[in-house]
Amino acid sequence: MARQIKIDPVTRIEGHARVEIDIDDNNQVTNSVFKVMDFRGFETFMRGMQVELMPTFTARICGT
Amino acid sequence: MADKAKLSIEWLSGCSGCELGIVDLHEKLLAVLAEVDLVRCPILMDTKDYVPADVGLITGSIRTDHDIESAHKMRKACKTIIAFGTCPVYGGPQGAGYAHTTQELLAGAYVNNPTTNTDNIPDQVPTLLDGNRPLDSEIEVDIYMPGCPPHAAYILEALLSLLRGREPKIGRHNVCYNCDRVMSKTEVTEISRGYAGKLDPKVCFLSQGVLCFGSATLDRCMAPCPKIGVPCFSCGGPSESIILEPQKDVRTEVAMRMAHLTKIPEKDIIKEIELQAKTHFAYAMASPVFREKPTFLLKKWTTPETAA
Repeated sequence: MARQIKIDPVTRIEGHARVEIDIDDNNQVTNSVFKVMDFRGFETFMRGMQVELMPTFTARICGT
Repeated sequence: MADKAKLSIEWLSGCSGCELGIVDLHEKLLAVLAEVDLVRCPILMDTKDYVPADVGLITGSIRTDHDIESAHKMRKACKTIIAFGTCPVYGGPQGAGYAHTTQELLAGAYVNNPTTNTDNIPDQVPTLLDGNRPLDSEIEVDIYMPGCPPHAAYILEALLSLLRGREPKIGRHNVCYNCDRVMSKTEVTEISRGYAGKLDPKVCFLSQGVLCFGSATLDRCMAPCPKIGVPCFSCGGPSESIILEPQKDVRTEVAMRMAHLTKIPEKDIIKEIELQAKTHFAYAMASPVFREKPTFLLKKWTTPETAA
């Protein structure tokens, strides 16, 4: 029987994620998706900031 | 002691540095765990439900509709809610996104990005809100604990005092309180950047013409940055006097001190802080405490016409 395994949220990792795995009638995986739920926009808002603060600022992307 | 208190941890939009801040308790963590049962902590445990708890500790800011949902589920499940870290208290570093629209932020990451091959903005993920918001824009918060992350000593004192029902013994000083540098009067006439030239490690940054925001920032860190040569960039949020007095403002406070210590005119310092506002105000920009002050005019300061 076709089914979907959904892990929501994925725990014991840093951040928010979801995993969806589609399985067909023959018990074969047909599709798997890893979704990252978090978005803050560092790519954009860091532009124009003082370069000497980047070591401390980029540390806040993940885990201080 | 009777039954252990139940502690539940949830993260919204943040970096997990605050969870690491708890681990920074090292062996003292055992003293905390002797008094609490950790019932939920996504970075550590596989509990996916919002289980009932005495204390709910929330890290991260409100950035997506999923964050709103999680915040409300935590409020329902927990008797006491702690906004833990600068993100839930003031919005955190992602507050710098206030200088852009949400569409600009998404396009910067997924479309106009030299290292991204597609130009699809993900649509199967939580919806981004118009802006970054502190936790109390959605739910009632019982205890505010800023810090990026809060120093382990403050975390320990806060948790133990809460568990024992006593007032926490946590000072309300600014970062200078724990900084070893000496404020002294100098003949410096120009503002310089931290990387320019050799600085005296024993003298206050302001005395040397380098912008440091420690004197306008709440000490929740024990001043590790100025001790190793990095000027304070206000990650712990504004000091108490700035929070409580609407007419007080980071840029004028810092400029006044720096002008007093050096020969740099106060208006030049104010101008420099305004030009660099995106950097200096990032951590607390999402908070109305800062953003709605009549003297905070980020968009005016950062547009080229005014800067010229």
